[in-house]
Amino acid sequence: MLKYIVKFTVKGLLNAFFGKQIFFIVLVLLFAFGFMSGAEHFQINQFLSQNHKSLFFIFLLWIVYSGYCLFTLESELVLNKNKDLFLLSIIDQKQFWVFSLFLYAATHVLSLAYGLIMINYVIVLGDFIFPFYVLGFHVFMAIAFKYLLGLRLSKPMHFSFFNATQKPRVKSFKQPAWSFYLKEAISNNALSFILVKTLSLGLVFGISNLYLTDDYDYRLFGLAGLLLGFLQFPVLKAWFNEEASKSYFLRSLPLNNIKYFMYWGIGLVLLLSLEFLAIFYKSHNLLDLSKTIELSIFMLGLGYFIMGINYLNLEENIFGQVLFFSFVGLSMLIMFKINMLILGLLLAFTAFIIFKKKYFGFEVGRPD
Amino acid sequence: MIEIKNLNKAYNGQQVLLVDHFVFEKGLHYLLGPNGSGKSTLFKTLAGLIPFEGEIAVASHKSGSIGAKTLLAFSEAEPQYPSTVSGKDILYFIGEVRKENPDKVKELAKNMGVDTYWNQATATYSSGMLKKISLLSAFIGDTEWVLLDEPFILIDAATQEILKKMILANSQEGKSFVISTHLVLDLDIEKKPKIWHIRDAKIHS
Repeated sequence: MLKYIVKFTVKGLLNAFFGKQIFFIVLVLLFAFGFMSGAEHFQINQFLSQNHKSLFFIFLLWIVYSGYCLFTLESELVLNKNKDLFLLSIIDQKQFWVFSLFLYAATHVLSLAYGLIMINYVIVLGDFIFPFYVLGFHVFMAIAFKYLLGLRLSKPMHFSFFNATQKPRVKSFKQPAWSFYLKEAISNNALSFILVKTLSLGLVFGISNLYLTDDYDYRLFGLAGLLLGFLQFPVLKAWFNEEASKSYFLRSLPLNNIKYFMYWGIGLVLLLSLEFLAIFYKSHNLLDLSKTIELSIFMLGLGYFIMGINYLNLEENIFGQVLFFSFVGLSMLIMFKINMLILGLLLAFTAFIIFKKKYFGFEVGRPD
Repeated sequence: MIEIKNLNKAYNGQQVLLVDHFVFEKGLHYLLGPNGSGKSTLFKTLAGLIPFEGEIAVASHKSGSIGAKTLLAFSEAEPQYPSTVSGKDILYFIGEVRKENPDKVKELAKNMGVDTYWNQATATYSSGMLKKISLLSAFIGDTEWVLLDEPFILIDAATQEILKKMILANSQEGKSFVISTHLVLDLDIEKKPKIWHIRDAKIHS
């Protein structure tokens, strides 16, 4: 039995990582920074900052990612084609491929721009106000794309969640069914989009406020943490998607402990990837112990928070509620003296999710 | 038997199940009801897969407990599995958990034609192929109860016939079934099947 459990876990873990190969590469790169000596570290930082190459470095990473996405557009489209059959039944194939290509490309490019601007202003320039404008602009673009042009930004062309009562009267992309898109905006995608970006922003603020100092090692550490935080989203999302909807067979078996192992085993490895980085830095004396502990608990709490939002059915799961609020509470307690904003953001986020779940049926399930 | 007491399940304020008291005695039970009436929800509560208010006991074991899961096997209406894992691994794993002879698992797989593709990862399966894996999994092990949610959808006519024979054979051996379906089978078994309807969140005869 153990053989199968290990097999499932390892395959699930590898799948989650390699589902986003480039993020895995970035992760390895960032781990590599952890192994550098303090002197090497300082030299790299000095080089990047004195020559204003920090932005270039980040830009390079994002370019690699966007290039990867753009070069693999076709396979991405083929993979997602089944989800768009509804759309294919309405419009012709050629139109579908053209729009899909455009949208996927636009998505990646805009995402790239967003990341670049955020990183530039928060980490390199230390400006904490401008990102709000960027966020607003990003959300505006999303809404403009989706609701004014009838296109989707964050998940282009995936209309699989349409239900019978809301079936859109799509005649062309320039003539969307307004009432439908309005309902959609309220109940589904746009809110998730804004919430995820808000949480990303919270992460940025948390780490940058902690580590934005004149000490270049700390700055690079903040940068690494930020990038890790960003890359955790798709990795975790891949894992959630993989496990949450595909684990009924496991949960129906008489295997209580194994169930939790399968659920949390993979997720914790993904979450703890941040912890590994912190430990590497500590082991090379790049961080003092108190900072390492603070950061560890903060990251664990934040990671658990993300998992909780995505995975636990908090309305109905008391065990989940206790764990969730314990971890978040603990991390907030430690962070409280440092950053009130994070606390406010996360509490608002929680309230919003509960509100959304309660009134718009977010991932609660459906009767069959 | 499976006993339900004060079952209350709602999604977003929409009442799906509200059952004061109901008992599935041993035997064959059909569960009928229109789409969205709560059949699958009932199955998931019986199998202990989703939270609910009330009590469900499978031969005095609380639903969702190890004891209940040992006695009860469940096949989903539209099953999903981790995409990287093969059907063979899944079925053998279930076989080990339910202490089934591996040869029996192999025989079942061969009988349903699953062994022709079960080495591939489930990501490559069609919905019918996935359904067959799920149906097969419900017949692995010596469970007292088998819950089959819409077992006749997604599969071809030949597999439907094989499935009918499996239900018949297992019923005759003493297994109990709860089957949600739109197709009531005319099976040659001693004890007459019970037919239940789900309407207005309640189970009616």
